[in-house]
Amino acid sequence: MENSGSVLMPGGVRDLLPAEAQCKRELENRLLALFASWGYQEVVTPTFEYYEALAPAMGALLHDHLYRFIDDHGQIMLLRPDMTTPIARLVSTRLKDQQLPQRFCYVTDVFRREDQAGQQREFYQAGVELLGAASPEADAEALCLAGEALRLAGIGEFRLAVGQVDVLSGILESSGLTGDDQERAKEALNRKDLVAWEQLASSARLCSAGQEIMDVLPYLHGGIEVLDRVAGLIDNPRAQVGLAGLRQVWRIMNECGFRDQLYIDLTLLRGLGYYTGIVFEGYADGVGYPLCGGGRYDDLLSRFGFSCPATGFALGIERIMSALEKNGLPEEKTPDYFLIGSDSCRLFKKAQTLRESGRSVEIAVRSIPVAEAIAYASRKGIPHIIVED
Amino acid sequence: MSQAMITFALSKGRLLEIASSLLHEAGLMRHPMDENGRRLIVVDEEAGLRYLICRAADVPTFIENGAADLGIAGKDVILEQGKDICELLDLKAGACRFMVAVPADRRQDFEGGLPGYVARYGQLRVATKFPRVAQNYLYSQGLPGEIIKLSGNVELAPLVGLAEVIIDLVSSGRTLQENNLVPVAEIAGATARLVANRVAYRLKYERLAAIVAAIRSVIGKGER
Repeated sequence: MENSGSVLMPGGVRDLLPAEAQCKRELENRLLALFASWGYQEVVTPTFEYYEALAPAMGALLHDHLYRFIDDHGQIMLLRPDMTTPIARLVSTRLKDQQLPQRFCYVTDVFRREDQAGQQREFYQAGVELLGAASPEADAEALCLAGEALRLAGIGEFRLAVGQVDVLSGILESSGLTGDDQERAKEALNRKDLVAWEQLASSARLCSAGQEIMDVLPYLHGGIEVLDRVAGLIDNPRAQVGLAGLRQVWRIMNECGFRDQLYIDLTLLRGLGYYTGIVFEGYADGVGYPLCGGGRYDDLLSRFGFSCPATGFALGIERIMSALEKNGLPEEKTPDYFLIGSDSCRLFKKAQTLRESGRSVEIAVRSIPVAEAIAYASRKGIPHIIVED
Repeated sequence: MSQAMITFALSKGRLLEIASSLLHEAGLMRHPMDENGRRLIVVDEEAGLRYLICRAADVPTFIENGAADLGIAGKDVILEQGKDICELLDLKAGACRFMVAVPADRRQDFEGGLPGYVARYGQLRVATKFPRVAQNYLYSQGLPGEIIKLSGNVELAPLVGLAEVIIDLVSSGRTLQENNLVPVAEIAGATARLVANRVAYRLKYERLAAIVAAIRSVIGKGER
């Protein structure tokens, strides 16, 4: 390999230079502080675990993107593709006797195989899991916290799109579609393929009420009026419970100042067979992918032998940073003082005193003339030089 | 939020004509776009629309990344690329079909379809420009087979012994005929589709919905 000043690096991973690393760290610290203020405790789980232990609990979506390897003992391992599954494993195995609900948060890197160029394969997520609460209030907490997180991060205008898996299933059940066609309709929505949805709706022989709901559903987007409209169109108990929950969430979000951000779209699915109730995604202008996503996953923990309702979400740190990039990167932090002098012992002692008083100090670790020190400090933007002689 | 420009990705060639006359009829584009234009970005301040002119195969990429909000792409390209984009409307234009074709003089070997051929000869090599579509088709039929990806002139492959069959996009069928190939199975039809970025579709829904409605109202009118 010719040394041209660069080292080969696989696609989908990246270095963060000081300004970006600082931006990321500050964002993560603020998010963790926010999560803590809502009563969430941080947990850390291993970067790799037994494939056998985690993979069966994962949705197909994650499963298709797993990094696997074989360790020294011939065991298949996986790199964590998210934190929801490890936390579900942690709670089901080690914390199931604790008082519910439990609240956990994390900031970490996750790993996913991607075959398309330009997709990150290692990326960072901050998120929360609220375990042991099935109420609409728990859903509202997850949504509110996601909204607060985007606000705190400095995302000016954003939308939180909310769907409800039970409402969608109930609508399809009462539409008159056959069981197979209901599955096909869900697959079409999951692919965001409204053309296939329309073809299904027009080829099936539906009653007029079923036809109407199939025709209008993809175009019902917006606020509380969407729920009123849907409630008037169907008479399915499962869907009605889901709608009542959504209404309660909407009321709470409205009270917390998210009236303009909350956006109901019952076609939102986020994968099949994983989420069991409310699902949501956060969007901002200028970023083509969701900034955050989450929802209710009441069946996941039972796959680890502990039946427990749960909800949560994850924020994409890089995506938030790219939404903020328009504002430019923050200025790099530089030390307050640059210390030079011939007596190293005195230099270190002086620096220690300054640091104890809260200053940041860089010591000249080789002796340099004052003129050179001034040039160095001004290049680096260090405001003060102390000559300790 | 809704006052910003909406970016529309259009592809050069066959689809540009279809797209431009459709948008013109829908009242979104004042003058149909010139096929021979060299500009890659055309801005219509008044309508609040900006057009990107790109390669047909690149439309889904622009859409998925959010570099464009809306676009017009062939279902063939959408199927082949499997990108995470919203498919909003079937424009019912630019129709073509994915077909399996074989040399006319070997037609009798394929009387039992591809399964019959595989049962007799054991191996099947498929030359195609659409490896994902071809692979999915073989999977769905439960057939073993080797996909040979070519960039064009796929019809050559069976004539020179590179593959037994081809899977290609067929519109009139003339190219097949001229190369002494005959279709033995149809995989799927493909027409032009209106597609959208998943974030733009929800973030700018009000504006996009108006555009979608305008386009929907003129679909299927006139010959395309």
